[in-house]
Amino acid sequence: MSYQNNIANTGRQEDVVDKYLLDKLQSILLQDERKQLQDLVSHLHNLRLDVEHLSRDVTEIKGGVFTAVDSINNPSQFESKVSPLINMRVQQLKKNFQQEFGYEVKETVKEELEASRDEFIEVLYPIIGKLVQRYVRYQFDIFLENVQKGIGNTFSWKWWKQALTTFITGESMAAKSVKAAMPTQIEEVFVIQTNSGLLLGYYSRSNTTDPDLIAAMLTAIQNFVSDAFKKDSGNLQTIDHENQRIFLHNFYKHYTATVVSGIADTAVNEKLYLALSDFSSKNVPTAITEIDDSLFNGVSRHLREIFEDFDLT
Amino acid sequence: MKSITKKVILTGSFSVGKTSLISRFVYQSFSAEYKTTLGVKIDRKTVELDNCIVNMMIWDIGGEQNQARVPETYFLGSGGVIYVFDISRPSGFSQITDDIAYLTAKLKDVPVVVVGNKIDLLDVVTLEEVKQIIPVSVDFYTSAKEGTNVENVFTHLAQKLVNESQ
Ligand SMILES: Nc1nc2c(ncn2[C@@H]2O[C@H](COP(=O)(O)OP(=O)(O)OP(=O)(O)O)[C@@H](O)[C@H]2O)c(=O)[nH]1
Ligand SMILES: [Mg+2]
Repeated sequence: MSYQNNIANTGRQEDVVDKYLLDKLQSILLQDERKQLQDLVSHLHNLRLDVEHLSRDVTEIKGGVFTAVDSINNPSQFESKVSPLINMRVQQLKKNFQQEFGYEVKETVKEELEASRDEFIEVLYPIIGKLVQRYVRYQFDIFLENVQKGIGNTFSWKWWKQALTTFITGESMAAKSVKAAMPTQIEEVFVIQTNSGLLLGYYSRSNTTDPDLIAAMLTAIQNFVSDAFKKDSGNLQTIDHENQRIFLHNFYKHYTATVVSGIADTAVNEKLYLALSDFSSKNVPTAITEIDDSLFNGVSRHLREIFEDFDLT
Repeated sequence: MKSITKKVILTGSFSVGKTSLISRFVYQSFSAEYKTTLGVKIDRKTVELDNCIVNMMIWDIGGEQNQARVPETYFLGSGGVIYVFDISRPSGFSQITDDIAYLTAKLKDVPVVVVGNKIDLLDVVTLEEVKQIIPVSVDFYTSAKEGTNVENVFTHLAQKLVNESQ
């Protein structure tokens, strides 16, 4: 359609121009629409392809699910497929747990404990004994490990280990009868500086332990107890085991740990306390600037003199 | 020869190598595996000096983000402190000044030896660069892994403990 034709066919020039423009416009618009339509069609086509793909995928997945369900229904098959994966992940976690989460765990536990200290104490107080026991066991395990590395396994270490095992598991009936048949006797006495946990003097009937380490460990345990419960009175007073009992007595700047075999009841405890407090006031200096051989040997010698043949009954 | 017994503590942030320094010093061993210390672990080692034998009871304290969080009872009665930080972790450097200030205020007249550990992780040039940005004066740069300077840290402290008590 040409401009000239349009003029010939119609009379009014303006109308012709209008018509022409309208046509042009229409054709442009239509062209556009046609293009859109084409786009739409190709879009739809693609969509259809997608849907076909999808349905194929779904069929495959369905097949997979059926096999999976089969496997689940058949546990041994399922397990054989899944457990290597789980195992691998568990091993990875186990290996890397401390690296990956150690810090977070430690921090979270600490925050939680601090935030609910009061509740914590209330709930835990009845089982504080157990808590302390577990801590003691934990510390002693490490301790034994270290000591065994250093000085080998002696009779005395067996004693400590056994002591601890029974301390944790409680006193057996057999143990009670053994105890009743045993003479009441002082096995060992440790005099320990309260603050530092350093040994000021030591007496032992058999003399085979590493008393320095035991003194420090006992002190760390007491530190733990007083720190966890924010009071000094929460101190450990006795530690029990098969046929022996450790009595702990606090004095001004030191405390004592006395290992007693046989029947070790409150009467024994009181007698011990009196003897130890008398011993302390006479033989343990209060202002100690340095713990050297002469101090240690002096206190130890006095301990031996007094407790070697001490009558506990 | 005279012999004295002292409590020594190793303290510092988490994972800086306190336990490793002790393992190196006491057992001449090193493990790349990391087992965090819960609470406190105690070891002993005797150091023989010219004039005295020092029996060290070494308290290895579980790492804390800052020293104010360490249970105070662990510090009681200590004759010397080894403060350890990790030279390969500059993000921790800002804490060192506060920590040392806290320790010296808490433990008056107790010698504090400052140790930058894990030098094996840095090359010589980087190490020198890092030294420039450490905000406190460092007594020893060590590697628990390779054993560098570890013995010196403890002998130095042992000597200080003897001098203190004279
Ligand atoms: N390359 C290198 N690694 C080290 C060195 N010292 C320690 N490590 C490693 O750093 C990690 C932490 O060491 P530990 O000795 O357990 O650190 P710690 O200060 O006792 O940590 P906490 O007990 O959590 O406070 C371990 O994986 C060690 O093997 C060192 O000198 N060089
Ligand atoms: Mg540690």
